[in-house]
Amino acid sequence: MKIIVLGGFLGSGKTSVLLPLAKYLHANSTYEGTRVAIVENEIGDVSIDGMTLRNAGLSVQELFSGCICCTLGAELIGGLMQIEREQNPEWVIIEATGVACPGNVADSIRQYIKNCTQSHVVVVSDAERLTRLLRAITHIAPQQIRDAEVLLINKIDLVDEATLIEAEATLREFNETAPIFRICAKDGIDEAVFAAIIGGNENV
Amino acid sequence: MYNHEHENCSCGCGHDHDHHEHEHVHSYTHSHAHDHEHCGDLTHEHCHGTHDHEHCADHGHAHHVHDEHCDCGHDHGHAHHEHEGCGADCHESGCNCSDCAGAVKTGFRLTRVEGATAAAVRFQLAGPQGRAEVEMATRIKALAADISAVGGIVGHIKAGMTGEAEVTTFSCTGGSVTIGRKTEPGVCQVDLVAIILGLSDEAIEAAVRNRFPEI
Repeated sequence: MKIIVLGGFLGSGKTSVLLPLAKYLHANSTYEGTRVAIVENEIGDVSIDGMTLRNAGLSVQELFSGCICCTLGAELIGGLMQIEREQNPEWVIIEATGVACPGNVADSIRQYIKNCTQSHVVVVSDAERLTRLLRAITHIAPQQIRDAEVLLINKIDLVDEATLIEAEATLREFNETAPIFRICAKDGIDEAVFAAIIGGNENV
Repeated sequence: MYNHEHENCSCGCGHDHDHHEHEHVHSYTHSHAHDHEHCGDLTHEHCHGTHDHEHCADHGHAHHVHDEHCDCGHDHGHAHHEHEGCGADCHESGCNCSDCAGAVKTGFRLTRVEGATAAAVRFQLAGPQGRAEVEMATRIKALAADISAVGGIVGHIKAGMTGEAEVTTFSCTGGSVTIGRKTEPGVCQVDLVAIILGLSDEAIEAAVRNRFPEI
């Protein structure tokens, strides 16, 4: 079972990335069983994004009212074990809440899900709000960036080039190594981005 | 708003009420942190132990307690659970309480996670759907402006709206099948979540209720 943890601050566009990513994984797989399963972690008790994903034909399991990097950690692991038992999917994409630290999620998975052969952490940032949010929320957003193996700057259509360059420099302050991709998820994402997300990183 | 006492529960909700009385806690599907040390089962799906259930919930989830001394690094504050409505799917199948007799159409609930407060709202809006969409967009924009005006940070406001629907039911007691059709024209069911930072729960609730008086 291969797992992608999709993180990023509130409203950055995680679900907008998740949908085409799931479609890409499905289209590029020859696996006979369930190719992609989704785990949605939502703040509150209503899954708006879950509705969207189900309407797109995806298998979705939801975790509510808590954060999977801590309070719902056991629930996440239990949920993944259940998914493995019942569906044995090739890929699981976990969409964390906007206030989760995806690195903690990935660490738990690597520790407790023995059949996880690959894990990847992708973090989506909002080009328009990144700098403002980093100033206002000084703990979560920087940690999310540090946790990322791939960084996506989304909503690039809403900002100018100078802002994008500043956003990339800001991301680099917190993460020196993760590749950075500019995207506008609502207009489509280049498959090269998805290839970079799943490339390499076999679990040790 | 929906509340009832479960002291001598006859609502058929299927929960163990022997050791506590509790406010009606059936809301949208939810999980709570509570002590399951005697459960012996990660998923607690078939939990029959005696537990201190300040808020009774379905047992389809694993729980553990992160109190104020938890060192996981997150602020566990406290979660507010205003249970004014109930999601029908939080009850086990066969539950005969009035919540399960029909989906609850309005509700308001606050949840806090890591410094962010999520106001979850459920209500109905008069259709037709096209007009309701425009109205929703206008109200959401106004809510965002209200939040910013009083110093809050809009994390994310998102909503889903289900419009006019035709529902077909089938009934058979061994012979022929009766088909029924029900249409609810002009009614849109809305679920909205506003995740806000930097404001008190009271201020968030006031702002949300101001823009969505249907709740």
